[in-house]
Amino acid sequence: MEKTLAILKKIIEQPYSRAASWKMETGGKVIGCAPMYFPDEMVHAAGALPVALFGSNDAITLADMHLMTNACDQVRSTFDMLLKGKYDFLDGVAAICVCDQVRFFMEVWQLDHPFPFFHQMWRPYRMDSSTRPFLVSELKRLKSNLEIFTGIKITPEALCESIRIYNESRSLMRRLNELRRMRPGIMTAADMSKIIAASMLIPIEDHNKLMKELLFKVEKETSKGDERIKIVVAGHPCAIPNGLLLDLVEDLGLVIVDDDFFSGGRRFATDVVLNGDPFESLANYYMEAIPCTTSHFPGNWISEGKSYSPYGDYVIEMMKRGRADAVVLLRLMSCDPFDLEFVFLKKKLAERNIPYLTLFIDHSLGPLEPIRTRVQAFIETLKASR
Amino acid sequence: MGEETLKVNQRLEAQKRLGKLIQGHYSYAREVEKKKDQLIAWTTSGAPNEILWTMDFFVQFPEAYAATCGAKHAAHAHCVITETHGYERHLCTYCRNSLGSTLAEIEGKGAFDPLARPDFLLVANNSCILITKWWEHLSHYWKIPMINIDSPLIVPGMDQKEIVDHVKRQCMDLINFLEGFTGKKFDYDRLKEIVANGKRSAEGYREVLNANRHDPVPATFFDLIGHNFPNLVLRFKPEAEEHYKMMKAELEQRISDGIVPMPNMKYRLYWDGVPYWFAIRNLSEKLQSLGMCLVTSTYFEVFAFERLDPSRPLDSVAENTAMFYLNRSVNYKAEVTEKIFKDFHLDAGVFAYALSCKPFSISMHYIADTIQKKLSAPVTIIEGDLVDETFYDEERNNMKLQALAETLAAKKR
Amino acid sequence: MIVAGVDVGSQTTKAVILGYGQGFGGFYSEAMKPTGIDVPEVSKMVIGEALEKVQLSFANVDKIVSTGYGRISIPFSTRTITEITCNAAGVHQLYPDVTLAIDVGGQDSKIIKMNSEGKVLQFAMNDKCAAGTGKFLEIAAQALEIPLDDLGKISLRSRRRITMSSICTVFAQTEIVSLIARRTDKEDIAAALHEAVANRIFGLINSVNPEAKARVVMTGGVARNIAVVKLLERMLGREILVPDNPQIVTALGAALMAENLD
Repeated sequence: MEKTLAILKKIIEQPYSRAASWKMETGGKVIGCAPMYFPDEMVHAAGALPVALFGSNDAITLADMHLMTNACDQVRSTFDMLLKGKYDFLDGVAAICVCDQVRFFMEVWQLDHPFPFFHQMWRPYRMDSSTRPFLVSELKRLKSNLEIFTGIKITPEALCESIRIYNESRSLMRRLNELRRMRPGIMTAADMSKIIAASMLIPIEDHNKLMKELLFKVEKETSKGDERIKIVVAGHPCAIPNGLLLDLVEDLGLVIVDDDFFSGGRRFATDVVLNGDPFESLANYYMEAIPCTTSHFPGNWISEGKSYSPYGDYVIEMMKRGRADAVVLLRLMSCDPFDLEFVFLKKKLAERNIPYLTLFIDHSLGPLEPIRTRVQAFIETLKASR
Repeated sequence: MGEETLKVNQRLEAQKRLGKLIQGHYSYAREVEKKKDQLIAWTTSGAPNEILWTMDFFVQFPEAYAATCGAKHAAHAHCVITETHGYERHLCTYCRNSLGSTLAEIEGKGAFDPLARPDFLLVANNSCILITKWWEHLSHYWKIPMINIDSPLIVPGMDQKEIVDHVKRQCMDLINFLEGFTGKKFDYDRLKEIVANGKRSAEGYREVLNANRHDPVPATFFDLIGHNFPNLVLRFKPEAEEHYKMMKAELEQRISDGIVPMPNMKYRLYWDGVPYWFAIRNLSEKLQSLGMCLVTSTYFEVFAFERLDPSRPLDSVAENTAMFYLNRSVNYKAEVTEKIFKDFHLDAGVFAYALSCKPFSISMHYIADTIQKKLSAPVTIIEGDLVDETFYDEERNNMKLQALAETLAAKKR
Repeated sequence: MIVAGVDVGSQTTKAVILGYGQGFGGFYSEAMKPTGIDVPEVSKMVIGEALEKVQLSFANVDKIVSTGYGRISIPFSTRTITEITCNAAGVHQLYPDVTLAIDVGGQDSKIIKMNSEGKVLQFAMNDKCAAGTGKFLEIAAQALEIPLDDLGKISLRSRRRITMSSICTVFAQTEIVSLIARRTDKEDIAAALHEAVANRIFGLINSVNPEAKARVVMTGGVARNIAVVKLLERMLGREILVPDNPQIVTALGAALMAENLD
């Protein structure tokens, strides 16, 4: 297991080296896709390699000259890497505009540092039968753009095949997640996060192979009487959470049994159920996705007395599923969708008496001391209430 | 026209009339609240409001309310209330003003001159995505239904017909819902009439704006900004068109009589972004002292509503929403800005960065750069916020304006 | 049994010695020193000083709990416990019916919500920003050229309310300078600065959803500032209790925790 795990972890150290070598070997196109819900299957079906735009932990030095400094870390960091030429090997960038920051910043990216392929996809903020047709036409527009760019026709069969491969990836990752949830401690959260993130940085077929090898070994692992307090981590920051932070949390006495990171639980939560037409199937996938702070749920905002937070319900469900005792929220500063959701989320957690801790995880973590204090204090609180 | 023949008179008759229109609107609101003989809706600037007017809702605009609160220095207090409830400080202050005043009303503490309590909420996400979440919170606090019209960010390559159809489908849904909600049938003839009024109002508005192409201008940008109110809030009524007709006549009269809004008009300036509602007097004084006359802005484009067409009522309403200015690509906005610079013969640009407003501020730097490079026009970016005065640094901003004036003076030599 | 609690803060290190014969009525000693850069050394010195006052030495001490940001650098402590838990323990000892504690020190602000047994339910800390802490007031005092200890009193003499726009401690300095240049009264500037600090602390308080009737205690160096306390009392709509030595409470709590260690 150690060997496969080491290979997967190494990918995160040099996130784009595999993509660069793939490009040289095959002459294919590499497209940077923002990790928030972008349909990588489509890029795959066009014979191109989708890689996630994750940003990095490096200090942000250039981005602030162009952008608002109170933008979220993810956007600033990604833009910074762009300006520093770290994304030069990409043939294109693409994203779904999930929030105002991504929506407006992407345009500035393209103007500042144009790519041959640039695609902003719109996922309707409200998803129901009247907005669904537009979602389908957006998926088709992406298909046409990819076809024009790569010169490869995306047949329905090719797209279905790509969907199948990504479904396989999701089911392998789901199984691994299930194992770590049932047997806390067999894998650190930092390692788990890297394993999943790696799937977004190398050809999916290669990752599936590594996952199968890894699972074969992990299936045999048993939890060694872990005394730590079980928690789930939520907040779905659009970046890869810092491994040092996750390690610190787990070293201090908590064990993470589930999460909703974009490079984690959110990635494999549901499959694209293939049902004849692949575009209709993808549209269903979006419509049935797990709740997110960046989507709008029409209807039940009116409720007597109780707070309404579909996202909060999901977090609580995740906690119960993992038999966890508490929630740790990982937040990025200046995230509009989350900050608005949080007002109701915390009410919901309070209503259900669920202890939670908030940690701001902007990549310039600074000294780990303050985080250590908060986590330790939280653990002391949890222990005292047992 | 020599400087000696120009007379300075800042007061516009149109301003008095506007005051009455606004006053009328708000006192009517108080009556409707008391009598309860009309349903009240809160909506956003870019939503398909013709549908609400057709169904005889009394329609109010929390965004306009925020501007009023900002101007009356009441917004900061509302924003502070939201902080008590867990809202972060970086969030849009229009939103926090609205939620703060709502919370104050609901908790019986009283807000500043509040809007009438709504029965229904309509929102379109064509100004930003945050606005929909803001409306979700309003829906929760007021315990009333809300409907969001999804309006995609328009990027090159998108098919306009698809977008408009998408919005139109949602408009049909909205009509269906409102018929159930009000118990009334939607009157398509009434819609046509309302759209016709709106078209005339929009044309009148454009003509008023274009009066400032003249050198010297009959009114400054700050004199004109309040006048988007009729086109935004009242365009369904003939009063809006009448107001603009009279205003256009007044401006043209001023032009032929040689009346100007300020002395010492050395430079013609462009303003970008939302005005800092609480700092208008400050800025006017400073700009005047530097001989800088603010002529126009793309801010007006937000309230243009020029797609209304009574020959295709519902389609044009959907188009109005779909093609809303704020929802266009930054390239488009830069092009419009460039055109304005040329059409209005502008010398320089003041870009008003608003800390809490991402849609306006994110691309600002890029547009400012474009203007500077393509037109060799000096620009400056000042910092502040829509309505929260604690984000406004008077010293630094005044310094930047001074520096801009010095750059312009050096250019002239 | 003799126990020691040492609280290593960013500015000062405090120690409390408790001796148990019959309950708390055994002996008690305290000491405080500036922290400096050698945390283990200064901790030893502070504990030593407190021990000396009651004619004891290190050899007599059974258990030591260290707390505060420097707690893990102390090799001789029996256990490290966060200042959240320690502060709550100390507050509960002094004021058993208090359920909301506000602790504002040199660089840290903490709000602790506890139950009637002194157990922590929820807490909040300032994030990467000194605006609601003693640091802000220290910088303000420097910029206004007023001794820090007099700052609060002077601000109470203010007669005109002004709003300061600076959110940031660093930029506040520039703003103060320009206000002075415009002949604004120092009392008025001081009042505005105190309001800014109190607002930040109040924001933090709200994030733990305090009970409407909870009794409140304030500790930490800033509790000595009468203006901040009065402002917070007004914002909370109730009295805030301040112990005679507000800076020693966390160290006291650490000593109490030491007593309970098994």
